[in-house]
Amino acid sequence: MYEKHLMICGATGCISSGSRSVEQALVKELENHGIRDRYRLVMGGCPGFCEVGPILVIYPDEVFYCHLTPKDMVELVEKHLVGGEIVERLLYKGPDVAVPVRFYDSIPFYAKQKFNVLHNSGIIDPESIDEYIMRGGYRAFTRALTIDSLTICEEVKESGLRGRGGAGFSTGQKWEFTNKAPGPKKYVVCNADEGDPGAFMDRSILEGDPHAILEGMLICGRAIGSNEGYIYCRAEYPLAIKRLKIAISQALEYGLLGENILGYGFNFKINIKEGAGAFVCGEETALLASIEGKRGIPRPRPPFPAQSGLFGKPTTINNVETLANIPLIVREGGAAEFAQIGTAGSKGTKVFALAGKIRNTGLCEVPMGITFREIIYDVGGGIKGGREFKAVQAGGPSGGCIPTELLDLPIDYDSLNKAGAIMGSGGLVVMDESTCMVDLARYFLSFTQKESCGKCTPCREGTMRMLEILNRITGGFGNPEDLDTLDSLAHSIKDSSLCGLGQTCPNPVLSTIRYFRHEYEEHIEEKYCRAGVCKALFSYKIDQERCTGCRACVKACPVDAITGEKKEPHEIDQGRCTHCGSCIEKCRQDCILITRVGREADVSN
Amino acid sequence: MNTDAEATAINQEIDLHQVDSIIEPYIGRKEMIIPVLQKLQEHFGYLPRQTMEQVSYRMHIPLSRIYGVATFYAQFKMRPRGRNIIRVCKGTACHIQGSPKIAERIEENLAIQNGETTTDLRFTLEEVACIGACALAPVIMINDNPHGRLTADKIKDILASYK
Amino acid sequence: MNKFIDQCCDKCTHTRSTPCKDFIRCCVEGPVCHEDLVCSAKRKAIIEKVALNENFVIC
Repeated sequence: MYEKHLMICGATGCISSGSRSVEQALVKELENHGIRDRYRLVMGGCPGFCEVGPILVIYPDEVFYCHLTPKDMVELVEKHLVGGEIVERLLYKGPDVAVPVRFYDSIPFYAKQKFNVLHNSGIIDPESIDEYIMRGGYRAFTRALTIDSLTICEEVKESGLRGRGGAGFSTGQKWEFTNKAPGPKKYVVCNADEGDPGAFMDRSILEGDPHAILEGMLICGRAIGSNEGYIYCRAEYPLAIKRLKIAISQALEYGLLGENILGYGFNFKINIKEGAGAFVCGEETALLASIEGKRGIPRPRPPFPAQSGLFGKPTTINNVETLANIPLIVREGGAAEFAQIGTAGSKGTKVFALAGKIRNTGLCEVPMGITFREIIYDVGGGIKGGREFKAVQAGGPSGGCIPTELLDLPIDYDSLNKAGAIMGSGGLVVMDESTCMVDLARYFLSFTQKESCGKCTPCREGTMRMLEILNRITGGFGNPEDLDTLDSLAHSIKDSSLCGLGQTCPNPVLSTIRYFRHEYEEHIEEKYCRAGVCKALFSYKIDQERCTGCRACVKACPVDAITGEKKEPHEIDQGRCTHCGSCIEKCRQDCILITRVGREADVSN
Repeated sequence: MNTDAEATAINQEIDLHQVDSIIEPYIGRKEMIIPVLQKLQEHFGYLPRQTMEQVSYRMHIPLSRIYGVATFYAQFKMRPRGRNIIRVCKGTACHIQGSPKIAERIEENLAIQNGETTTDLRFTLEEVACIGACALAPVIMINDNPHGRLTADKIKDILASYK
Repeated sequence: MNKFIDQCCDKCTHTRSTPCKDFIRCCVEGPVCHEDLVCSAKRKAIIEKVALNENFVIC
C-alpha cells in the first residue's frame, strides 16, 4: 500500500508548460531521499486548470500545487513528503481568493463545475484498466449485456442525451434507427476528429479516460447489434492514440473485447484510424469516406449513415464526449440521474474548453443551462489584465459570437441556436476590447475557406468571395454595399451547401455583423480599426505626456521606427512603422495609443 | 519554393524493397491506403513519387486516386522537409493573442513562407489549426518542443537554438 | 495476483477463452463464484494498493 498518491497532470496542456521535467525532478528528488517506492506517482489525465499548470495533486492530503517548476521539487519533497508540512508558496493563489488555498473545493474555478464525463480524469492512471474497473468501469457494459438491445436505446433516449459533437441530435434515437435498419453487419464509429481550433475537450477525455470511450462503444455496439467499431482520431493527438491503443490491448487481455465477451456470446472489435489532417472529416459522411480510404468528401443525406454508412452498412457515429456519457447513463438508474441535471431540452453536463483573453484558461465541465456570465466570470475568473469583455465565440468556425448583452443567456442547444451560435463541440474563446470582430470573422472564414473540400460550388466559391470582401474591408478598401453582399452570400451558402461545414461556415460572419455592425461600419466608412488589429486602419502614437523615455520600445522596434533620448518622450516615424505591435508589448506605461490614420490621438487603448 | 529541396527530391534514391515491405501487409485491402501513405511518409519524411507509383502497382489502385488522396489531406507532403519542423498554431486563442505577428516574424527571419523549407533544409514552416495548448497562447511547436506565451522578439533566440 | 485478470486460485476459471459472466463484479467484490477469505484478500490487496478512497472524488 502506498503512503501517498502523487498525481501530475500529464495532458498536453501541462506537458507544454513543462510537467514532464517536473515529474523527472520529482522522481530524482524522491530517489535522493530513498523514498521513491513509498509513493504512487501517476502522470494522469487533466484536472482542467491548464492556466496554472503544471499541476500536482497529493492524496490523501488533498493538496493542490500549481505553477510548478523542476526546482520546486527539492522543497516540496523535503517539506511536504518528508516533513509533512504544506508548502504554502506553491498553493493556488489569485485575485479570487483571499489566502492561498489548498484544494479543489476552495478554488473558485471548480466551485460551479460538476464532474460527470471527467470524473476519472486526473484521478486514475489512464493506462490502467484495473483502476478504471475500480471506479465502476465496465459495470454498465456488463449490465447492457443482460438487457434487451432496444431497452438500451430506450434508456439512452429517456436520459435526454443529445450528441455532443455539434448538431445535438438525440443519441438514443440515432441508436434506435441503426438498430432497426436491416442487415447483419453494422458499425459503431467514434468521431475523435476534433478539429475546431480552440477546442480540446475530446482530447482530454481520450487522454484521461480512454476506457470510458471503449465502454461507450461496446454498449453502443450491443444496442445497435454491431460487432465492429472504428475510432477516427486526429493524427495530431499522438498521446490520445497511444492511450487508446493501450486501453484496447488491455480490454482484449481481460476478455472485454474480442469473441464471446464475458460469455454472453457478444463479439466486438475496435480499430483505430488516424486522420490525416482535414477539418471536413469531422463531418460524418466525410469521415466515413476517409475511413474507406478515399478523399474526405461529404455526400448528400439521405441516406443517413444509420441506413447506409461505413462500407454501405448501417452505422452509428458518435462523438467522444457523447460516448463518454454512455457508461454513466446505462448503469443501474443512470438514465434518471442523468436527466436530473440540465434544462428541459438539454440534459446532463457539457465540457467546455475556455481559452482566449480569460484568466483561467482550461477545461471545465458544467451543468447545461449555466449562463455565459457564470462560466466566464465565476469559472473563468473574468478577463485577463482587467480589460473589458467584448464577446465570446462559441462553437468555433461553425458557431457565432455572444456579445455582452447576451451574457445571461443559459447555455443549452436551443438558446444558442436562437442567438446565432451553436453548441458545437464546446470551444469557448473569450475576447476583449483588443480583439477586432471583423478580423475575427475574416480569420474563421479563411480557416473554413482553406478547409472547404471543394465539392460543392456555394462553399468552394462562396467562401472565397466572402473572404475577398473581408480582406478588402480589413485592408481599408471596404465599400458601403459590402455588408449587404456579405449577408446575401452568407445566406446562399447556408441554404445551398451540401454538408455541415458549408451550412455553418457563414455563422461567424453573420453573428459578428448582427452584434458588431458598428465595427464593420467603422472599418468601411471611417477606415478605422479601434482594436488596433487591422494594420492598414490605425496608427500607433506615443502619448507624450505619459511617456517616461525608458527606451524599452526603441529597443523592441524591429524597424528602428522609434526615436527619442533617454528620459525624453519618444516619437514614432509613421513612414517606417510596420504596425507589428512589438512596442506595445514592451511599454510599461501603457502610453502607446491606437489612433486613426493621419489624425491626432482621440481614442486611447 | 526553393530549388535545392526539389533537387534532393529527385536525386534521393528510393529503396523499393523498403517500400514493398511497408506495403506488403496491406495488399488486397484498398481501404487501407491512408495508413499505407502514413507509414511511407513516416519512413521517408515525405511521399516521393516513386513510392506512390509502387503503391499503385502493388495494391492495384490507379495512381491518380493515390495522388488524389495524398493531396487532399494536409498531413501528406510531396517534398522533402527540413530537419526542424516549426508548427505555428493558428487556433482561435492563438490568433487573438497575436499568432499572426509571430508567424510574420518567423517568415522574416527565415525568408520563407508558410509551407516552405529553407534552402539548407534546416527549417520547414507550417501553420496548424490548433495544437491544443491554448493556455500558452500564442504558441509554436518546433519538432516536439512547445514554446508558449510568445512575443515576436523572442523568435530570433528560439530559432537560433535549433541547428 | 497483481492484476484483476490474474486468477485468485484454481477455482477461478475466467480467461479469454473461458469467460465468466460476473467478471467485473468479481474484480471489485469477488470472488463471486466461491467463498474463500484468502482469495478475497488477494483481490482486496489490488484495490488497496492504489486505493482510491472517498476523498479522491473531486467536487
